Amino acid sequence: MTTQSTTQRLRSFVSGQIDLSREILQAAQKGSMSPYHYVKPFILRAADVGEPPLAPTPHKVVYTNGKMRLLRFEPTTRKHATPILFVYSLINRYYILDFLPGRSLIEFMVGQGYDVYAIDWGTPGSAERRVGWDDVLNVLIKNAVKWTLRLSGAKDLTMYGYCMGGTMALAYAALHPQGLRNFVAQATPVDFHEGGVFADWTKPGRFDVDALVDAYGNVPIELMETGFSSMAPIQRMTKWLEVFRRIDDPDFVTTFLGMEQWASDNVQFPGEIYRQYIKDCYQYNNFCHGRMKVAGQTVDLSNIKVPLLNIIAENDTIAPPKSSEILNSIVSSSDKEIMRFPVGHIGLSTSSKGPKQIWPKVAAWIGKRSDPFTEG
Amino acid sequence: MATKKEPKLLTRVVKGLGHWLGPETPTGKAFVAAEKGMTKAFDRLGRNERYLDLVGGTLNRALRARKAYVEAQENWLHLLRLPTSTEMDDLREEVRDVRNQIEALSSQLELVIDALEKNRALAQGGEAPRTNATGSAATDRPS
Repeated sequence: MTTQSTTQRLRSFVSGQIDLSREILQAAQKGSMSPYHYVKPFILRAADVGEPPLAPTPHKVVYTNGKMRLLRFEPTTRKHATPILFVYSLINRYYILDFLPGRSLIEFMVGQGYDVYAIDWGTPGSAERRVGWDDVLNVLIKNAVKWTLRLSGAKDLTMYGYCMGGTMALAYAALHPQGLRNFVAQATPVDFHEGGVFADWTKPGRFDVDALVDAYGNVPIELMETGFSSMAPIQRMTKWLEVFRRIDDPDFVTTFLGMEQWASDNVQFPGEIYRQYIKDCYQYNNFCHGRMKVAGQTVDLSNIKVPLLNIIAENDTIAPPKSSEILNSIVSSSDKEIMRFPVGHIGLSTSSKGPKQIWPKVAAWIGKRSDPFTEG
Repeated sequence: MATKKEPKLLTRVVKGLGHWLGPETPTGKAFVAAEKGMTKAFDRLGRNERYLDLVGGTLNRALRARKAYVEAQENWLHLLRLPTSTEMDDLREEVRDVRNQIEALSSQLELVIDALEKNRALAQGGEAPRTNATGSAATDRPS
């Protein structure tokens, strides 16, 4: 009996070690730079938890164009006629907005009775090399707005941009103000010369964006990863020690792994969009000063007249508060407000403060400016 | 009475490592101090103009070299009458344009149908169908 049990334990130990080695080898073969792929197999086993349940809110794909998908998150009881359209950044994936059950901004808004839509840009590949701002604003976001209005049966919507998605959504709102009821900019950089380390790294003489795009087409994942890890190279490794210490706290481990999984899920940045983004935003600040042109049209943020909510993360190093707060002085909206929260860039969407302190205020602001939903 | 399950060896090792380097132990204190020092050093380095110019210059040279290599490769492919990456991108761009054009045409067609439906409803003395801000009929039906 004891011999059998010892044999079984030994067998299970050996097979466990083989699985572990296989997973690490696979990560190495893929050339993953993020420590997540190498440490995760140990953490999952040590903590006895499963994969983090990311993007938990049920949704339907209602429109696609190339790699882009428009997702609809329908509420069980709809209270607001005005839908919300989330426009996410082209860096990483949209599901940070639908992070984990109980910690999902989208889930929260759906729970508040909003008909929610979100653009998922997918994983750009070689077919997206020549996709530019014109395609993104005048085709993809424009169609997303059209389909959101059509499916929700509303005459206008609340556009909710996050990070670079906020920059793109602002450009869209400046060019196509029709169909917009409210605008929410969350951690959105506007004055790029206040853009922190990215502004320093991408100065015109220092960074030849043309050479990068001409050489690679899209910005390679490795380059994006290197850029992000250069922001806090030591913490990138040492933050894992905190999860080691709290290995017997499954909630903490799941949240930590969810965040790391999202952070390591890098995608290529479409080359032509990147070229114009770096030049018009970071290098020459044309976006902020109303000099950026898309398909011959000037992106003038003063064309925005709808109610504006500017959400700022006080500890943001990606879109520092100074780079975002200028927005309220540029737009022509008479109804505009800034909300500040003591979190970081990602914390606005994933922090435990989200469902308790941040999102209720945001939902209330949007609710006051939305039409109530009436059947029929 | 339920007995607490003994943690696995791996769990104990991982937790032990965490505590060994945690701020409450002497080794951890030394580690935290070293971490703070390195973070400060990297932060200063990351803001040092000369360092950034040096890294930027090196990166730019590498990128320009790759760009030259890609151009040379394309010239060779061109000479051999083989499709180049640029030509493939041109083709993809055309396909995307065609797709967008089809989508625009279908939107225009929907507008025409909406207008016809409106006219027909008005001619029959009924109410015109509801339309939204984009001019399309408000419907729950995805196409």
